[in-house]
Amino acid sequence: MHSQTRVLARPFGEPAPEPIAELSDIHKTFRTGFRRRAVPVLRGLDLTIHAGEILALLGLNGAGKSTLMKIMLGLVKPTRGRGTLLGLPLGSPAARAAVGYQPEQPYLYPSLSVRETLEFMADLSRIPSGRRASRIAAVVEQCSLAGQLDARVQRLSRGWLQRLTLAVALLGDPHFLMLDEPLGGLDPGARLAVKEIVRNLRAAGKTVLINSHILPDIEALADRIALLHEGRIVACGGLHELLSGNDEGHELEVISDQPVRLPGVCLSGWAPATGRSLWWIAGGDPDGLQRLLGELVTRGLRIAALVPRRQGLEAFFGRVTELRPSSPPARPTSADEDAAGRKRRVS
Amino acid sequence: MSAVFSLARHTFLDALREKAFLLLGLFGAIMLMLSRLLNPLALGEGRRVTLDIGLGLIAICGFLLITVLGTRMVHKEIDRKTILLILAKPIRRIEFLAGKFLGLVGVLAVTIAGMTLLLAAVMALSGYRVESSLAVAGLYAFLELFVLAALAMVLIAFTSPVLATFFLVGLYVVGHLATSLIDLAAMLPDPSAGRIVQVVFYLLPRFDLYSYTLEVMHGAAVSGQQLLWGGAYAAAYAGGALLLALVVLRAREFS
Repeated sequence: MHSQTRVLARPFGEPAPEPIAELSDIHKTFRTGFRRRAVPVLRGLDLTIHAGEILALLGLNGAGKSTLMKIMLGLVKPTRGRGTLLGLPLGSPAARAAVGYQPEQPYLYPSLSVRETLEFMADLSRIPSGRRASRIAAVVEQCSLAGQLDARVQRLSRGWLQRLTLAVALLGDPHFLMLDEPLGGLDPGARLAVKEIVRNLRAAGKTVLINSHILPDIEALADRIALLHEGRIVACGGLHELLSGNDEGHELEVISDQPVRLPGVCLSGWAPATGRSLWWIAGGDPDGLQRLLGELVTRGLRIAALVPRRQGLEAFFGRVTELRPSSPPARPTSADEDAAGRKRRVS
Repeated sequence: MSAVFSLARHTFLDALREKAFLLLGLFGAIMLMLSRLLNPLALGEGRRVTLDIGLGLIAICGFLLITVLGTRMVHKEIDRKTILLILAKPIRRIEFLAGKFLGLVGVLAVTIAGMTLLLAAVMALSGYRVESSLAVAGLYAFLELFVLAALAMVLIAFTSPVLATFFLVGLYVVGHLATSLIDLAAMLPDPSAGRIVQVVFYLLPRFDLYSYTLEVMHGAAVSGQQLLWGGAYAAAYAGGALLLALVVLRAREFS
C-alpha cells in the first residue's frame, strides 16, 4: 500500500509557476444509509495546480476525483482541510466567476434549445449584456455548435451534449477549467474534437483540470498527472517523470505445446489454439534477458518475438495503486490472443 | 438580465412547458359547466352559488399548483443535477432560492389573475353583477398561496416532493384552523401547556386571514388597513420561511 505521496520535483532553478488552486489536507467523509455510516472519500489530499497547465486527475471509480472538483466549487463541503482557488476561498462566488465547470454527465435542460441553454447560462455567468452576444458567438465557434443552435437538447447525441456542456463551461471566458470526464462515451471523432478544444485552451493560456479514465488521452493531453488513490495524491508529475526507469521492458512471445513457467517472470497470457505464450519482462537488464533466452533455447522452445516496449501510464497506474488481476490469466482464444495478452501484462 | 430574474423567468417558462396553465382552461370549463347546471337549482341564489364555487375552485386549483409545481421545481433541479451547473456559476444560493420563488410566484400571479378574470367573465355572461370585491378575493387567494409557496420552498429544501406535499397539505389545513388553537389554549388547565399551544399558534401560518368568500358574496368592502395587514403578514411570514429555506439550502451538499 502506498501511503506516501510521490511528488516529483521540477528541474533545479526553474521558477515555481503561479498557483491557481492550492488544496491542503482535504478530507471528505460522506454519511450514507439509515445508520449514517461514514464513507471516507478523501483522506488528507494535498494538491497545487499551476497557472497555464493541464493537470489530469487519475484514479479508480470512487477515488474522489469528482468530489474534489465539487469541493473546489463549493458544491460539497470538505470535512476538514483548507484551500484557495485563484487566491479566494473555495466555492466563493468570485472564484466561481473565473472557473468553468463541465460536469461528468451533460446535466442540461432537455426542453431548451442549444441557443436558449447558452443564453440562460450566459445570464447565470453574469456576462455583461454588451459582451453576451459575442461570448455566445465565441463559444459556439470554439465548440463548432453553429449547426445545432436551434436543436432541442433532448435530441442531441452524446458528442454534441459534451460540446454543449463544454461551451457552457467556457461562456464566462474562465481562467481555470474543470472538466470532469470530458471524453467519456464519445466516438473517436468527437474525442478528437474535444481534445483539440482542450489543446487550444492551453494555447490560450488557460489552466485545465481534467478527470478522465481514458489513459491514452491523458498521456496525450496532460502536462502533469496526479494519481488519486485511497483519498490521497500518491503520485504527481509529468508523464516522463512518472514513468522514468519503471516502464521499460520486453514483450516476449514463445510457441509451446503447453503453458511454460519461467523463473521470475509472470505469464501474461497463453493461447492453446496456437500454443503462443506471452510474457512481460520488466527492466532493461541485458544480462538477465540473455540468461532467460538461453534457458528457453535449452528447453527447445521457439521464440516467436522479442519486442522492447514502454508500458505507459496504464501499467504505472496499476503498479502505484497495487492493482493485480484477481484471478490467474484466462486462456485467450486464438482470435483475441494478442489483445488479451497485452491487457494482462504484469511486471 | 440579472441572474435572479433569469432564474425566475426560466422557472416561469418551465411551468409553461409543464402545462401548468392548463389549470386555467380546466377552471374556466368547470365554472361555465357548473354555473349552467346549478343556476336553475339555486332558487334565485345563482350569483352566490357561482361565487362560492368559483372562489372555492380558485383556492383548490392554486393549492394544487403549489403542491404539484412548487414541490417539484427545486427537486427537479436536484434530481436532474442541473443544480450543479447553476451553482457552479457565480450564483449564490440565496439568488437561486429567490429566482425559483419569484418564478413560482409569477406562475401563481398569472394563474390566480386568470382564474379571477374567468370567474368575472362567467358571472357577467350569466347576468350577475361583478363587484370590485371579487378582485380583493383574488388578491387574498394570491397572498395565501404566496405564503404557501414560501413554505413549499422550506419543505423541498430538505425533503422529497412526496413528503413535502404531505407536510404542505397538513400546514394548509392547520393554517386554516389556527385560531382554534387559541380557544384550545384557553381551555387547557395547565398554563404552561397553554403557552406552548400559543407559541405553536404564532408559528403556524394564519390562512384564516385570507378567507374572504363571505364578504365577497355580500359585497362587503375591505378597508385599506385590512389589505395592508394581509399583505404585510404574507410578506413577513414568507420572508421568515424563505430565510429558513436558505439556511437549509446553504447546509446542503450537491454531489
